[in-house]
Amino acid sequence: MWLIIGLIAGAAVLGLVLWMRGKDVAVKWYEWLVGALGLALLLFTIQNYAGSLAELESTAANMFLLVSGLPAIILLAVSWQLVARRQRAG
Amino acid sequence: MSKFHSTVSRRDFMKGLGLAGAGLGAAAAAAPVFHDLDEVTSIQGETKHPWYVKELELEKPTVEMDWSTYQRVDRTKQVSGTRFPLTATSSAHAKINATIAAARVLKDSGHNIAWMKEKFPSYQGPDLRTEAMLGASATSRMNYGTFEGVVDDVRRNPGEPLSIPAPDVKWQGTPEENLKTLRNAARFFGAAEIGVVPLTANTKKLFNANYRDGTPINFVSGNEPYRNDNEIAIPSGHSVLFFSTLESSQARQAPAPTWTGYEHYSHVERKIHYFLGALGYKHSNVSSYTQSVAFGAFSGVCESSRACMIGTSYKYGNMYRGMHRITTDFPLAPTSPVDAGIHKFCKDCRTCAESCPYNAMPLGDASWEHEDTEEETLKNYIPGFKGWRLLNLKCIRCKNCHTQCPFNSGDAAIVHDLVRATASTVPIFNGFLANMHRAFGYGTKNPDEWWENDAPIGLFDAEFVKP
Repeated sequence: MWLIIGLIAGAAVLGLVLWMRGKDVAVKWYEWLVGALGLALLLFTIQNYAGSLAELESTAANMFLLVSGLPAIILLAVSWQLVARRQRAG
Repeated sequence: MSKFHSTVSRRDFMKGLGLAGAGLGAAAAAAPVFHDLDEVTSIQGETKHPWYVKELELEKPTVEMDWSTYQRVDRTKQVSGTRFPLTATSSAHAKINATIAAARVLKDSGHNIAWMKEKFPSYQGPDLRTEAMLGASATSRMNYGTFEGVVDDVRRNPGEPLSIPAPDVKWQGTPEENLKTLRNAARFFGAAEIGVVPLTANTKKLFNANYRDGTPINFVSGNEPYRNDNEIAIPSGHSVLFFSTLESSQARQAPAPTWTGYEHYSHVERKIHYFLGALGYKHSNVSSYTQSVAFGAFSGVCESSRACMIGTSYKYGNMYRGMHRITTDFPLAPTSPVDAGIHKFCKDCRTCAESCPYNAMPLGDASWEHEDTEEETLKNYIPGFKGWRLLNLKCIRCKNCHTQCPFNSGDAAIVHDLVRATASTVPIFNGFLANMHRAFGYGTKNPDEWWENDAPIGLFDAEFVKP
């Protein structure tokens, strides 16, 4: 499973970088940082969600979706919007 | 000629490969929980087979049957004048069958070992340690040995029949090697951890002054432990071996507990005693003469905690059940006490105490005295250490405290190791972590849930047992 997630994540980041290059999209260092944090938190959420279910802790699993999954989505969205809005303005 | 050309330069392609590899590495760094997609879909206690396993019709296994030929087996049937089946496992059968005779000659000549030596040229063959393990693991007779360390029915020399041990045959190794030998053997038998405490002026005080019938416990010179009507004698030169066994992980469903903790412990205890005796060393059971958590804390297997009579471990939380003590002359390297931040964590956490159905656990800070007025008035505790003390007048041993500790956690979700590391190094977050533990629903579960989930094979969930 983690092999597949790794391949997907790697391919997604690669695809994103190439696409942005093609569109001449510039990304600031802090936008990369926020995006990376968001991705790390998303992976953390997935691992702990699956791990909690394996430990028969279904409440904990759902709490991870809320407590770390939601911030992960927010961080990724913030990173995306920072880039997108600067592109529109520039 | 094709007009196709890639928009990706060679440089970008190689960069992309690197990114994909980094993504793979990042994901792989997260501890893998599932080995395949079928495990992902097999969560929540389902027992369905993986995708590559087909379920067949009833009465149609993969072996083809001819029901017209297959009949119920006549167990009085004879082959060559002896009861069917004729096998090479019986040396008596060698007399009636030449093929069996040849197999027996091969076995009796040590072919098993010769084959292994050929496969692994550095293998020396079975030794005293191996024979001790063999005997201990087979000791369904509950061959415990005596307080004085005599164990019967031990094979002292490989290949020889079982015999009374020769007292001068001992396994030799450095204290560090011996500790590793014993740790592996103990874990194989089912112990979780072992620790070793040398006997010093201070640690001797962790022994009671006497047994409950008043027989004094004395420390003597020489190497011979003994017990009689006048005294219980422990050689001063011995060390205290401490080992712990786990409560069954399903005890999280307390107060519908299992008794596997102590039942399992009794098997492990006997095997370790036998193993030490078979190696040629003394092994006196001093559990009734000593304090359990005290030796657990001094050996580094656990820390003294708010759970009072349970030693809390950073690996297993409050899930230790059996805590056995053995004095032995087996040279063993001592194991140091540890500080994994548990003592500090207990100060802010209080989860076990606040969950006690009988309000029998201390809620205040660690103290030199008992925080309960009645217990303090009666002096119903052991003074001399700053810690937490159980309200013995209220505790009926329901075991709910075993199930509540934040350090009980399994090994599958990586957050638990993060919590352990944070608790040990940045104690300012302890209160927050304790709150999260409760908010995330960890701790005691509905006892009925036990029947809904896949029970572990044996006693402990695999992800619960840590190296």
